[in-house]
Amino acid sequence: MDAKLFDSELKVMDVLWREGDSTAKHISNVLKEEVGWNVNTTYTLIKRCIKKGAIERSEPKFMCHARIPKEEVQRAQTDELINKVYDGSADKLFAALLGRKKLSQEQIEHLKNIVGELE
Amino acid sequence: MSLWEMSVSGGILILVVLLVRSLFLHKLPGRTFQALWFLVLLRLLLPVSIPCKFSIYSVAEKYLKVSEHRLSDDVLRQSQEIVQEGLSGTDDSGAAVSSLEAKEDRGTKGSLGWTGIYLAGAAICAGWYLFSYLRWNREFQTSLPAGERTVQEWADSLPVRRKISIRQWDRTVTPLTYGIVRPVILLPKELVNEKPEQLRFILIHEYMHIRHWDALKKLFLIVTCCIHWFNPLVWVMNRLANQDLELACDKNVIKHMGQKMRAPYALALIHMEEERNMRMSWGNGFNENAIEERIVAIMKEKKISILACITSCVLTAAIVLAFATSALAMSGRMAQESTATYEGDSVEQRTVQASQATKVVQEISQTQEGQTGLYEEIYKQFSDEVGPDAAQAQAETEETYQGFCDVPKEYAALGITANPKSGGWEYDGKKVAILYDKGIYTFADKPDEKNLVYLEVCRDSKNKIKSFREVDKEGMQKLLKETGLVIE
Repeated sequence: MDAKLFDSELKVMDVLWREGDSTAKHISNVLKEEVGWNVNTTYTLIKRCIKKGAIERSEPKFMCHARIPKEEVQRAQTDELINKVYDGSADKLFAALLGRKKLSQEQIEHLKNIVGELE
Repeated sequence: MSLWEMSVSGGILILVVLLVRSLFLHKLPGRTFQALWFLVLLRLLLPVSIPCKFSIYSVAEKYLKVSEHRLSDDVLRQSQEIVQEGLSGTDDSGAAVSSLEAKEDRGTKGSLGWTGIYLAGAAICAGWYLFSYLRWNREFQTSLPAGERTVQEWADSLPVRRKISIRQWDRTVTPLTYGIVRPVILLPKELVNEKPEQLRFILIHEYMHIRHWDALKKLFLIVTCCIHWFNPLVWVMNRLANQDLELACDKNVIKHMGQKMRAPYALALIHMEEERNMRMSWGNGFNENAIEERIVAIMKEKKISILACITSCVLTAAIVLAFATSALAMSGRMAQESTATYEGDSVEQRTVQASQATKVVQEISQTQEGQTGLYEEIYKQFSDEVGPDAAQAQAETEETYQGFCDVPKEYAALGITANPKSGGWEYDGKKVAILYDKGIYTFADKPDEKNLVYLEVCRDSKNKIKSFREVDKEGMQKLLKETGLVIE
């Protein structure tokens, strides 16, 4: 996937990640409930996601399939956060997270694992 | 009032407001400028002309007196033309009339071209704005509801009848508000999570825009710009009026939050500008001046003095009287013009007048030398009164033409004699039925059938009479065709 996904597009992806493959109609119904978008808006966003390679369309009834997993997007966004806001240092982000609230031992272990993965 | 007149007087009014603004921007209550711009819009959009003797246009008319002289000069010149054509011959006057017609045709064709250009320009402007609006509106639709519940709750509690939606949009770095019937405030994603103080300032600022219907005012400005697209002053007005809307909004925020909040509010504005400049590489220049003007206005805020109020009222009234009204004389002149002395059926009038003038000249028997005094007399009549009818009337009442049977000297010298008994003319022993001296004289009689002669007068290049040419009835009819006379 080449381009960055905007918030609105991530919202569409979110529906697919939660519910698995769905029709475009279903996605637009869900989003109408959740954020108040009309059908045209949702369809426009789905088309943009397809163009960016995030969604794959299959033809009976405009079925949508998420081509990128949620984790990949999360990773990309975390990287961006670290680079933009924490001067490229994962440690600083870490410190900020730790400073926010008390973590249990279990959580700290979990975090260390993640850092190991990221590195 | 025509579009052009509206635009010109609107433009002058804009210049006046610009002048007042540059001198008194921070010294007069903000409402003044709102009222003044509103006046400008009225002047530009309403085709009414209110005659007023205090108007500068009245003054201009009085002291220059251009219009009145021009009007009478035109009429004088036209009547002179008609007389000249009459003197030189009937088809010339016909030609004069048709050339006048041609000139009018050319006039209307020219104005069709200008109308086309105007409509094209207006359509392009309107189209551009419409296209922008539709495109951005589509983008705005993809905004998400505001992250924090409290924000929307606050919006719902506002004393505005319309429902205000607050949404979050990751495509902007500065907040913006749009929508007239269903206003929406779009906040950048970062702002929602940021210092609540700054958020509060922003929200109140946007709320003030909504409450005072600024979006609607902006729409009127845009419409005016499209209608008056050819007038650069109107575009200047657009920019400045928008700036003044922001200034008024700032003022309303401070009024709502209290004088103590001036400094924090000003700082919040500056901070937002910084954010904006960081993210966008364009959009400087004009913006620097604009934001500076706003900061100064906010910090300089002081209590409105009575003197300032009175001054602004008087100034506004004076500007209205002097520049938004039109001249007394002007509307009188327009009424005159609209009764169309120079349009449509008056061409027919002129045809009639022209043929009448030629008839007058034809009835007057003349030789060039003998009659020059006569011409001068008639000419003088034209100059004294306006309009060729006057001269014609004069000519008919004063018996300045010779008796019917008297033969002019020129013709007598070539052998025309008058028969006092019948009142007709004779030539070469025959009765003259018609003597045709093109453009100068026509003698027509109805003698007995037998022994008639039809004479055409031939003149040399110096217009001195040379001889007569005898023609037959058909030939004479052909010669007379242009004059419209028919031989019975």
